[in-house]
Amino acid sequence: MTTLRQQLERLRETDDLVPVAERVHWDATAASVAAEATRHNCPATLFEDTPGEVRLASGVFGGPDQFTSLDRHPWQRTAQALGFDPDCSYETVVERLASRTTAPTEGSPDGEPDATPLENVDLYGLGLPTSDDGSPLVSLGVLAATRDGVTTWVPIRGVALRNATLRLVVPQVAADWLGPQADASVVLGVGAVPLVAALQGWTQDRITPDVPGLTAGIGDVSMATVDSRTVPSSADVRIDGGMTVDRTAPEPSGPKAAWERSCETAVIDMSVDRIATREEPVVAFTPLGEPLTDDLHLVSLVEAAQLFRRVNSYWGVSPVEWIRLPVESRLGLCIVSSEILYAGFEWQLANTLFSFSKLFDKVLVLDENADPTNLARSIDDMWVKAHPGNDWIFSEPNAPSATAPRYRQDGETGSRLYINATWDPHWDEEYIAPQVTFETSFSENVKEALEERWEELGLDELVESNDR
Amino acid sequence: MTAGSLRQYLQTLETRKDLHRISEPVSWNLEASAVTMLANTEDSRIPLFEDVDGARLVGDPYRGSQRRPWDRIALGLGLPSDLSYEEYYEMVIERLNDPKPPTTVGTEDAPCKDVVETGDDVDLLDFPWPYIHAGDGGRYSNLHTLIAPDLDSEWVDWSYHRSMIHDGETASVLLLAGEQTPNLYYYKYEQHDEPMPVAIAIGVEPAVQYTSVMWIPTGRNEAEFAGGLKGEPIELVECETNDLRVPATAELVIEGEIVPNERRDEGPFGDYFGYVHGPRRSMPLLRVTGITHQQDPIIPFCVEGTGVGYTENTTSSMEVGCVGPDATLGLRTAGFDVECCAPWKSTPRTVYTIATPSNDDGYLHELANFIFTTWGMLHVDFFIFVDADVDPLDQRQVLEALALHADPDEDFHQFGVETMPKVPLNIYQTPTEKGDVQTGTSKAKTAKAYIDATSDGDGTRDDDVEIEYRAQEILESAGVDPEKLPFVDPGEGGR
Amino acid sequence: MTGKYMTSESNLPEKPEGEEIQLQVSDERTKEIFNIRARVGRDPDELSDPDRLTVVKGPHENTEEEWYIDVLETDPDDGIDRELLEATMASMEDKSTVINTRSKEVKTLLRYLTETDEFESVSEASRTIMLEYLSDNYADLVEEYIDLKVQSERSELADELYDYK
Repeated sequence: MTTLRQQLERLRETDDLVPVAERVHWDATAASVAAEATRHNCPATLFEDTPGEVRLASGVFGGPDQFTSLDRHPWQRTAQALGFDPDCSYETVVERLASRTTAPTEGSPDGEPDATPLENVDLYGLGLPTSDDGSPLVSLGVLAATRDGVTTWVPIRGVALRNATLRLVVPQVAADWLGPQADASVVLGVGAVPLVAALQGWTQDRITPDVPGLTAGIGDVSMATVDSRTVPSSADVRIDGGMTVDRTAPEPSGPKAAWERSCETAVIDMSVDRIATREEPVVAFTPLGEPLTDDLHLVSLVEAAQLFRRVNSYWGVSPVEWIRLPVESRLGLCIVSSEILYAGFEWQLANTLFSFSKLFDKVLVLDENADPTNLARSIDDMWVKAHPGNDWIFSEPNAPSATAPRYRQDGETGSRLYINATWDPHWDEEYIAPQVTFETSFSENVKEALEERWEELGLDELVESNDR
Repeated sequence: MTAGSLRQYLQTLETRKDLHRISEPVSWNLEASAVTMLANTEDSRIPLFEDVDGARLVGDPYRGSQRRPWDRIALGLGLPSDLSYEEYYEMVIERLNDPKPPTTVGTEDAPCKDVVETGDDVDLLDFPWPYIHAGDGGRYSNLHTLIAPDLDSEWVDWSYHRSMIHDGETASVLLLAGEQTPNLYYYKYEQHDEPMPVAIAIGVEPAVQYTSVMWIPTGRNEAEFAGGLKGEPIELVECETNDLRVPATAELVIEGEIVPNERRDEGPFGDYFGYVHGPRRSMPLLRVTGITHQQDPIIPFCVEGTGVGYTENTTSSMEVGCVGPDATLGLRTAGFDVECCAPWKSTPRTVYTIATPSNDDGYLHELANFIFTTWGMLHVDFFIFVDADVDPLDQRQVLEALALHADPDEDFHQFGVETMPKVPLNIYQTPTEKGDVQTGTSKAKTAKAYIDATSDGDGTRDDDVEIEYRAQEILESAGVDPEKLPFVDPGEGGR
Repeated sequence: MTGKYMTSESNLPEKPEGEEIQLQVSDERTKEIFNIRARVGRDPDELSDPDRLTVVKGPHENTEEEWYIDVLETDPDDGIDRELLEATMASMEDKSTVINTRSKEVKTLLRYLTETDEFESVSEASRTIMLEYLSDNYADLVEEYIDLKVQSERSELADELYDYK
């Protein structure tokens, strides 16, 4: 099971959650504390004492910047939240997401959702964190709505307007599919699985409206029915009402969520009829626009999975070992490790990646034995293995602009760049310089002697006395 | 107090429980470097080997912690190890701005003269020079200061060049044209068929070692800047077999001359890129005329090639702790408005990030070319320019700037234009491209590039220092390790 | 397992086996580097008192081969008469560089190679082939020649500049 509360428990158990007992106002302070925490690689934070109905948790699906340490992996919290083995490798996470299977949601979900309707609470009373102009912010949740008997869950980002309306950005294709109006529920305080499934359903190369089915395909999420809509039953907050697609409405204020850069978007307004919460509800939020936020982590994995799947089925062979869109680069860089099948393959690979994603206009190509967990070394390869004279390849300036970078946001075309940090396939094997590592720099005799003399030389002490 | 000798520095480490003594015999043949590599990758204490064929070695003594690569270097200067990098840089720059000429002491007051050997008594092989990586061409001294005088002025250059031991009296020295001392040798001494007198001072006091890796302008004596760092003049003593003066508290001094028109094999060696690479080159020959040393000398060495990725070693830490502040000062002295110039943390000498408030295209071009045309720019291939409020030592911030603000259309300069010299230690040129030119630099040229990753005003954060400070306080009271939080007192106005 | 001595392939002449050669080796134990006269071979049975010799190859010298070596003399004399070489160089300054092989066989073969575009001319062919052979089998002589040549060119240039000044 993979609910938000279970994730919080897991984080607490592994000392990766800091409860803030001090009373923190949802009005800007929570967001600024959350921003400092993500920026400085702190554990997830749980704000226990807030003036509104909900408690707030930040960084729940996020993670540290990988330059700070080889041991902490940025995707660890998300992997946990998806119900994967906490020690599972990056490749495993991506492969599982890449498979994108749907599973039946066990007949029609019965049972009541855990959240119960509240009287006398409006959107402001919930106590969600607010934007600069004081509007409560909504993210890390999904909109559930039905068309022709099929329920879908759609990624959202928006604000509360006045106390009974939500203005939300959703993927354009979802707005088109749902039609001009529908009954809907917005659920907050959900685990990672529905969020990831919603991104997969609506922001990728093809749409899969059966997001509950995708959810069941990833992990064990119990579901319930509300007004003939399927919803995650453990959601901490549920807002029921009616949505209308409004082609003229301006976008809600506030920074964009990362997923908004990977697809076209539309604006919907939702009128609120009813708000339901669990006891002592908790809602996950993330300070959008800051580095290393949860939304960046989720999109990084979903997009990498999509690219991995598409690239490895493109040419009839599967040369790509792994793909990463490091959160540290805010999705503006794609790193791919691949066998280089023949000279020029790296050109094909880079350009295929560019055509499959709108996010980035820079690709770094690494050899197939590169380690996906060693970001520092990957970037080192860029600086020392790629020849600055001929391995940094700039395209003609006719490519559409990418959405993650901040330049050319007016859509003007420009160049794309890929950096070939692989060993030249023309080179004889003997041209390839051996790395300086413990395995390769010392003879077997020396390594064995050290093993034998480990205690005598006090090496346990030396190795344990580290500063980390 | 700045340490006046390597021994004092090691004692400082020991008082802080940061030194690991190994009294069991350890071999110089790969064993000492293997243990040091472990210490480096595990980010732990500094290993001191007390019995290496009866002599002593210390492995990567100036390596800093992975979190703060300048911390042990700071200790060598008598500074606290927990300074933020900004504070550390500014203090080092302040000291460099106050150079002090060295003084000379008599032989009786110079610890490096405890034992003096000249003539037939000289035998390099009396000392446990380490064989550092399997596949190296020979044993190396690679953490020292090489002292050489200009042929026609009073200038004496202190620098660093790795030296491969051949036998009791000879070594080859990696001299790459383009750097200061090699230029003196190839274009002045060798052209006149004259030997260049040198002294290699090993295990010198920290301030001296730090200045030998800095970019000090031609004609200025590193000795003065070492005095500035130390806060008092460096004491020098005259050599026995030539007219040079060497730091009096050095552990060991090799006196000799680099002879003209002779070459010996040098390399292969696992160097700072993190690869063992060859081929062996023909490099100038050092003939030893004298060796002096302290009783029981300690020879420091660096496991070169381990200062990449997450691991630190002396080279990578001195890049951050010594070259960075010095380069920052140098650029400011040249009139550029530079907040900070720092090396890319996990790849020594190849990439530097410069935080500058200016993002004018012409200005950045001037800055880049100023640096590329100075001596010793063989090693550097890239500069990245970032906003003044970006921390050049924070790789995430720099990578983000590269990804979000460097437009492939406009902001990548001089890539693909192969007109510049390159050190042949790189791994992206073929052996043919590197050649075996008599003066060391690669036959084939390379590109030297710079990237404008400044934000041009779009997407910059709205920093409110008071709010950030308060937020960090809340996190700290909630139990977050304060080490993670870069507290900046709002009273200081932030950055 | 490494041998008692180590050398790089670049220090061996092209056909090193069988003959007495001079080469630079490292002592595997002390890592000392020095020149010796020796016989080397891949088969220890062909040598009288063989020690093991590790030969490293490749641009990064990371491929090893096991050979054997009969050490005849450590620290041999250079064997190059520097004065004679200098005198020869001086005397060649204004002499013709034509060499007559007086061998129909040699000339025929060189001609063939030129006709098949291996070389541009017979002169080029003979130049290339001879220099290669000399570099392989008389490495010390070639090195000494280069050193002397470099020296003389430098002093010429220095003289010119001095005159100019």
